[in-house]
Amino acid sequence: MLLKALWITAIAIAAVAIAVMVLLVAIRGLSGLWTKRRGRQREALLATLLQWLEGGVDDTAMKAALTRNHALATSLLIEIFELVRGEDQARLARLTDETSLPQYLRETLEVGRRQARLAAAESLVWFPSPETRAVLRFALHDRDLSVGLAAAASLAALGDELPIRQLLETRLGQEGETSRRLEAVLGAVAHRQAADLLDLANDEAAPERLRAAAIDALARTGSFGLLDPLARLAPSPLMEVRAAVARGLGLLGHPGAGDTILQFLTDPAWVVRSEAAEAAGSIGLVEAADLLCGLLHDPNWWVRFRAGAALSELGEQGVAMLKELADSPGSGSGQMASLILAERKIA
Amino acid sequence: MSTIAIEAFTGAVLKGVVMLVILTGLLQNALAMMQLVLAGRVLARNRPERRLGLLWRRYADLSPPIALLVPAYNEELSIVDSLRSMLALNYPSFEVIAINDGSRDGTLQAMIEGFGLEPIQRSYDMAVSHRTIRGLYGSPRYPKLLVVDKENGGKSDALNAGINLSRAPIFCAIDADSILESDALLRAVRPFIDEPARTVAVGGTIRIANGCRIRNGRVMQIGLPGNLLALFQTVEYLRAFLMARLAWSRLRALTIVSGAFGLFRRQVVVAVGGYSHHTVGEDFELILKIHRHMRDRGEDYAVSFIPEPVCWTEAPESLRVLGRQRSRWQRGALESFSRHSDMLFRPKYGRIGWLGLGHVLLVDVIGPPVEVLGYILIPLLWFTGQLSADYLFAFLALTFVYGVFVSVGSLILEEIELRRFPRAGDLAILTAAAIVENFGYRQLNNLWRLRGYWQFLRGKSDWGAMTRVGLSRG
Repeated sequence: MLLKALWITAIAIAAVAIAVMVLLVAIRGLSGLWTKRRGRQREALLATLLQWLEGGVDDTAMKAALTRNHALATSLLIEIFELVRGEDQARLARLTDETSLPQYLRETLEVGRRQARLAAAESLVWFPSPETRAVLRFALHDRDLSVGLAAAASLAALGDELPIRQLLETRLGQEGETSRRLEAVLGAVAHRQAADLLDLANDEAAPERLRAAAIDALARTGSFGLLDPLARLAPSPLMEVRAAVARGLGLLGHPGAGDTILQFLTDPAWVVRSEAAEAAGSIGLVEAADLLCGLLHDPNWWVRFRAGAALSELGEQGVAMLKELADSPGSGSGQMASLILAERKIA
Repeated sequence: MSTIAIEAFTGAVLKGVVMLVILTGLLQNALAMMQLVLAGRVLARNRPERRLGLLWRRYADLSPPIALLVPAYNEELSIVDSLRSMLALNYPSFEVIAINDGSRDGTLQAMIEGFGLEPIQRSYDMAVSHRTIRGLYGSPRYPKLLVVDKENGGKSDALNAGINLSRAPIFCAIDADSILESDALLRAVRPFIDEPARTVAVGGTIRIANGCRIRNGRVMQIGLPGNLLALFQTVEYLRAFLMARLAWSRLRALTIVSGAFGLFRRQVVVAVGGYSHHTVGEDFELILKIHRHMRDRGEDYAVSFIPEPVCWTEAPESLRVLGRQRSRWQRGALESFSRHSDMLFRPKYGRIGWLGLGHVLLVDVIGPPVEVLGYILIPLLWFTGQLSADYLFAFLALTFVYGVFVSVGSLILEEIELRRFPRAGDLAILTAAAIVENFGYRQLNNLWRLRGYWQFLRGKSDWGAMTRVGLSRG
């Protein structure tokens, strides 16, 4: 009985393996023909599109060509939208808008496979309409986080306000994890929704990384009005928040941030000291020169390196201090100073 | 003790050993099936995006800077081509740090002449230990390239020097003789974009370049190797990467990221002391150290595998060189396993202790000797009349077709999801290779692994020469 079962199992497995491979080879042979045909169609459509962009084909013929094969046209249009800019892109969007392609993309976003939904969410940004906005808003709650973030990015690019707090609480940034895509979305809405982001940055119940991401996004707007709100966050017990504030103040580049930066230069966390040193350099905070010299002895290399780099950005005074240190042989700070001068080719 | 008692005792021992052989085989087969199913599910859910333009738009602005660390030892013939191809990668922000590990040939001179390099000075962190750096070289014409000349200390030592010199938050370790596809970094960096706080390491797929047409350090046309050994390795690599690593990554129990192509968060690698010296399995060792470090600190983290970024490498084509490589891999696995065996089955280390190291125990520690024992014992038992020939052949047939089925499974995954082999005939050839490898090649592999076992027990620690014939660069 056992013997028979062993043989039957072995034969069955072998038969399945062989059958599947024969099937795959056959499918590959057929799909090779299909791929060649699709390649020819793609080349023809691409040539027509390029001619249309040059004015060699009229709109009616172009629309007819685009609607012949939706999947192919969509894939090609996405590539062309990447390549063209300005008026050409606007023309292409207007033309495509009059075909059924935007509708095809909207349907794909609703019912397509993950990769197709993701591409559709990203591409719909070129076809703004109330229907597109509605579908993108719906996709904010897509079962796949990447699709939700892509929809959020497209809505932000279309100038829409996002229900940030609601999204963060229900979908995005779950378990306190951010993603760089989420950070990009926050950056895209920071100008319009600064109050929402400031609210998030100040929310002590929010995860540390999300608060830091909100601060980073705000700082990238370059608004000097953020100086005081950021300074008020400086005493935060959370290292990532303090580091983001230091980084943000450096980005704003306003001399009014000097006191906060000076305070950060003696922070117990090396990450904060390092960010503060960089900020001191970008602001040109001459008052920080002595502290920066002291940081050349810091136990952490990044702090020493950024302090040296900051000194080199402080103009004559900073460079003179670096040169003086470089002349003292054998000391750790002297070595760092001389390497910074050599790396930046300062004689 | 009477003769009958001795015979009974011997029979019982033999039965026990045979049961161990069968049980180990069954467990390995069950694991292989589990890997196949899991990998299929992952690939079906996350189909790779083929359009590079779309990838660039999606990831370019979000991608963190990466330092490519390229240790080179006696690579004077190919190093300039390799570095040129790396400098041409499609990635928004990266630098290439080539580390000449005290080569005895003209590797350094080739780089100096090939890129017009001059000595430079650069401050760096002595975060991890390595042999003395003799000089740094750069050129304004190639601002992304930094060449480090150091005393010979081995691959781990060279990588440690590269880690110290790098200033990017992520580094990518890659062999100097390997070829990265131009979009490999853009694809591999995805976990660092999606989960920047959790992701500590990401591995990509390694594929065999023998048989491919290569020009200026780029794979121009994918093909199958003409050499039978290299062909068997092509099937093996498909199984290892498309199936096993993908499955273990899905289970969050991946214990290895290949030394030929892996991305790491620099800060975490520095925290674990960088690459370990005095081991031939430095890649395996590093990942185990990272797991230990993160678990000890109770931090949430991820070591991931992404199948679509591809790094092409040259496979050995002679039995002598391949045997040395496989013995060294076995030795490396045993070294790292013995160093971290206290993590095995300890609740503190969660699925790494249970699944990851449990798998290593089964496949790398128990597997090779038990399989060879099976090859010896089963015919012996048959010869002495203690095993029925009918059962012997049925069992062997089942084991054999199961092995073929698993290999075919990985070919199916490759064909449905990635489809890198251009011709339908390639699939048929690979299927034939998946069948033939069971007769001789698999057994030989086990002998090489046993040799590695023996070398480990004797405390051998050197790498041995890795002779390469060179990829056909047109």
